[in-house]
This record gives sequence, C-alpha cells and structure tokens, in this order.
Amino acid sequence: MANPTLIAFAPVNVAIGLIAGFLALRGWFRTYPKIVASGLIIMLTGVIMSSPILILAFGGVSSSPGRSALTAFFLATGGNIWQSVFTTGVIVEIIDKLISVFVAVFVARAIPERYRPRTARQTL
Amino acid sequence: MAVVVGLTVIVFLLPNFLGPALIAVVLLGVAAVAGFLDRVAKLAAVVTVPFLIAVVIVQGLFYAGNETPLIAIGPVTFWEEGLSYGLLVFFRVLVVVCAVLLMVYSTHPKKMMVAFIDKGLSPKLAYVFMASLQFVPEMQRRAQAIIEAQQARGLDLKANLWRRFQALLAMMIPLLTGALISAETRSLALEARGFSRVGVRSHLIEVPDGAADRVIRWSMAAIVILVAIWRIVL
Repeated sequence: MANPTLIAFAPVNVAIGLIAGFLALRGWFRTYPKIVASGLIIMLTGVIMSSPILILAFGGVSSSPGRSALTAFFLATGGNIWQSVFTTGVIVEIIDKLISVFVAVFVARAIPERYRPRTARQTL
Repeated sequence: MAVVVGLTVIVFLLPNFLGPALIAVVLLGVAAVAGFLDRVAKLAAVVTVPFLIAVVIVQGLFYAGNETPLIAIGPVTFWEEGLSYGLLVFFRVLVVVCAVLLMVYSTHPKKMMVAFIDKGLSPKLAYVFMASLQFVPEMQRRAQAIIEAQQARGLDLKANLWRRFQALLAMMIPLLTGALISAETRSLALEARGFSRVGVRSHLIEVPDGAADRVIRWSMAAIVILVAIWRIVL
C-alpha cells in the first residue's frame, strides 16, 4: 500500500492489459516495426484512459513533480486543462511505454520453451 | 470496505472543501483510537503533501473560472477560486487515502478473504484478490535476491545506459520465469487440496458479522443516498 492514490488508475491498467493481450494474440509483437506500432497503440490507450481520471479526481496534477511541472507549463502558455493534461501524457508516456513494450518482448522471448504458456506460439 | 466506498462517493459529491476537511480529521481520530495513528499519518503525509503543494500551485494559478485575485506578486497572480478548488481536490484525496490506509492497517487479509467468501464471492476470485495483494512484496524480495545473485556473477549496475538496460533484462528474465513456475506449482497445490470443488466450505478463521457491522453498512448506504439527494435538490 505504498501509494493508495494509484488505486484510482486501476481501469487504465485493465484497459492496457486487455489491449496488449488482444494485440499479442493477433501477432502484433513479432516484428520490430509492429512492436513499435503496438507500443504506440498502448500509449494512446493509457493516455486516453488516464487523462479523465487525472482531471476529475486529481485536478490535473499527478504524483510525479516533473509531469505536473510540464502540465503547468502547458496551462501557462494558454491551453485549457484537457489539452494540457493530454499533451503532457503523450510526451511522458511515449518514452515510457515504448521502453516497457520492448523490455516485455525481450523478456518474453528469453523465457525457456518449457515454461511458456500455450499461446506463446501465436504471440512470439 | 463499504465505509471506504461510501466515503469516496460522498467526498466527491460534497461541493465545499470544509466537508472533506472535517471528514479527514474524523478519520485520523478513528485511527488514533484504534492505535495506529502514527503509521497512517506518516504514510498519508508522505503521499499527499507533495500533491498538496502541486495542486494548490497549479490550480491557484491556472484555474479556468478565476475571478478574484488573492495575492499578486509581480507578474504572477494567485487566484482565490483556484485556491479553494485546489484545497477541495486535496482534501478529497486525503480522505480517500486515509480511509484506504485505515482499512488496510486494521484488517487482516485472511479475514477479509473469509468475509468475502461468506458473502457469496466465488473462492477463485477471492484467492486472486488475496494473491495479488501478496504479490508485490514477494516480487520485491525476489527481485532483490536476483539482483544480488547477478552482481555476484559480475553484473555491473553503474555502467552506461545500454549496460543498465541489459542489467534490467538480466533481472527480469529470472524473476518472471520463477514467477511462472511458482504460479504453476501453486495451482497444482490448490488443485490437490480440492480448491475447485463446489459446495459449502468451513473456514479456519471465523469472521463474525455482528449487528453493529450491519448497522454501519446500512447507515453508510443511507448516508450516501441522502448526500446525493441533497446535492441534486440544492
């Protein structure tokens, strides 16, 4: 229970999990260009789902100070709060999700054949 | 748990920031009575104080409905509506955080699981819920052990970016493989103990559902409905 405010973002993670599984079963994680594409799709899902939660429940401010500072910058230069939070989200999460997706694919490929689940032949 | 959900809903319905501030104080009082005020207060403070500063600054400066300036320091004006909105958001979050922390510190997870099963939740879902709560600390312990083992075999954690990326991979692969193996072993063990059998179960720990508990639950539901009606009517 390190940070109970993260409970509010549970639907975001659910959506990302569903979409990642959906993409994986259709073979979107096999070649490098497709991995980048699915990383972008996952990033968009994450940002679209987390922006309303941030604005309605937390007033646009997230728990990381850098991200809040970026949101404040966009607010100061004349955006409304939806645009600012969305733009901040895209900028922050594009790097985050691309790295996560690549790490996940490399790790999944490195698991020995014996311990892979049954669907691994479709996804990897 | 019903109290936590009810409080969350109320806090988002109340318009002014004084309401949630009062509720936060009451919750901290309950924590003091139950004996773990220091843990709750420390964790709540660590989580919410940076949030307080950030929210008050951002909303104070940039809130959309700003009209009456409070303080003006050179080119920067700090507005009053923004400040009150920022405080409202902060106190809402504080109430939710305190309520959740209280629930976590006062309830033993096994008792919560037994209570859920008594109320009719499928045992598989209850097990998944409990397992996911225990998942994070166990993964952290395992990750620490793996990092130390890899360092004993020559993993360098302080080199350049590419090496650190490889170090991250070298840590995650054993962690996930170990987690998959242990999940399989665990499911075999549960099957061997008759987990998916349908029927009445008896528990080792009994969770009594007394009259006081039921009163609190129903009054919580009633209070939520009353606050909703009050908010719609006014």
